[in-house]
Amino acid sequence: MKKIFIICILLLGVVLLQKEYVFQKHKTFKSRVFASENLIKTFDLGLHSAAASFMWINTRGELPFLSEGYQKFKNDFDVINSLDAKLSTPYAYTVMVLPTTQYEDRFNEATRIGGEGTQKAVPANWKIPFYTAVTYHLYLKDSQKAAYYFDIAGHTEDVPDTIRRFSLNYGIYPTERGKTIAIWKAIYKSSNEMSVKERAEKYIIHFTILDILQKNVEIYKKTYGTYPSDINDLILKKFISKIPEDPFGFTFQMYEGGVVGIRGE
Amino acid sequence: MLSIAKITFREAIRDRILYTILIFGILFALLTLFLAQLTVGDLAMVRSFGLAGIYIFGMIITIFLGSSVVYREIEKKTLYFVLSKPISRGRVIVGKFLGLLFAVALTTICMALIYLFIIAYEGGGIDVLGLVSILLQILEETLFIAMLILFSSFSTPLISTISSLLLLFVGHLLDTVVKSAEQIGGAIHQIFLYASYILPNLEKFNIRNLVIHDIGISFETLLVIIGYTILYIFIFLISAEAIFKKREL
Repeated sequence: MKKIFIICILLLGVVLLQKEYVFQKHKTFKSRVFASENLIKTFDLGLHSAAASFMWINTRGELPFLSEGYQKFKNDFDVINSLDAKLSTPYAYTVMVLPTTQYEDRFNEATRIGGEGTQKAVPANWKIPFYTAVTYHLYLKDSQKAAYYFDIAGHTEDVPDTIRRFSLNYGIYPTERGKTIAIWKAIYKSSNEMSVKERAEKYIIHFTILDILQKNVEIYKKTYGTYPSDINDLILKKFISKIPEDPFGFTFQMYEGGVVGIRGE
Repeated sequence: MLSIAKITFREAIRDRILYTILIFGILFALLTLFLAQLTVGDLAMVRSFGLAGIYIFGMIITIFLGSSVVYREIEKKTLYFVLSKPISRGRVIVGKFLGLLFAVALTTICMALIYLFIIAYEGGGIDVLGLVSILLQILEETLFIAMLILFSSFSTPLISTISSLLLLFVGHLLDTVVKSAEQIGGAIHQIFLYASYILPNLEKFNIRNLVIHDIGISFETLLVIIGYTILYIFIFLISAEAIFKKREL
């Protein structure tokens, strides 16, 4: 009986020490530092990607709680990035979550990481350019950069159809279309890359077709007093000879209120 | 020679510690299923963990089995019985090498099968590039077995283990060290450069950081690596035979 009592007391001691250990660990969590890039590279037997992945699992949990500063996360991210710059998840997750921490200085950092990830991640991940574009559009109000990254997202392999349609039609609303065409004209003029120029040309054609169709719809209304119920009514009533072919393969249709848009999924 | 290989193979796969390490290896491979959840299905990360696990446990098994292969026979005096037969010491060395190679390759293949299943389960299909990476790992293990037989022919298992572990780290660091020495330049750079040509440069077997991103290597590079391994195996086995022949039992 005496021994059982002693064992119970000892067990209580164990529980209290474990509780203290958990408390201490919690207290020291924020000062936790990862080893330097060189140290990891020395001892990881060339398993850089695995080391980077392991570090990322530990680091990503910090991202939504950066109220006390961004520097520590940035240091860890830089180490992960130097171990394997091609890993897409760290870029995608950071560019998605960092701007939502609502600190203005982090918007530029998010777009920098997004830009880097768009270039380096293998295989390309649509989330990186997509959320970079979202940051440019929502937080930095830079429509030109947003259009540029939405275009990359929309052309990434394996991009979900909804995202593709959204991305390729950024700035499609009639009130924004003039501005969007101007943006793509600016991208066309400022870029030296042939692929970017070709794509810019496609966007200009895409939005110009929509503008032409919209103008004809307005003329149709003036003539007949109502909007056409179907886009093909423009051909039937000889306003246009045919519906131009869209460079992205979308088909056009009429929406409520005489708005011309692309056909839904 | 083949009967020695068979006996060595049987001895190796009967070892209980081998099974313990193998079970840990398999558990680690299964752990990647859990890690896959943490990485939100990033297949590159799942592959990196899986291939790293196969590599680490594969090398542990190789070093564990290889470090005492000849020494144990001498200590137990079973080698006297073998050498009393009309068989040369060279053939004993090659038999030991082949037996160990089969055992190590078998354990690596077991872990590889589980890895392939996990990748297919996670939606990655058949990971052909991962298989190439595992093939290169088996080549690295082959080189290591030959090296361990050399060590084991003249030193104790502890020294063999420590030496092979050191060479494992050095072998993977050579490229990085040469790059760093390049910035210093001069004689230091030259020394490290020559060392990287002479010492077993193990980074060439490591394509894990590439294959997880669906980047492969050319067939020519693969042939160079195979040639490099074969030459080193001959160097180690011939040296082991020479030492073993001179050794008084």
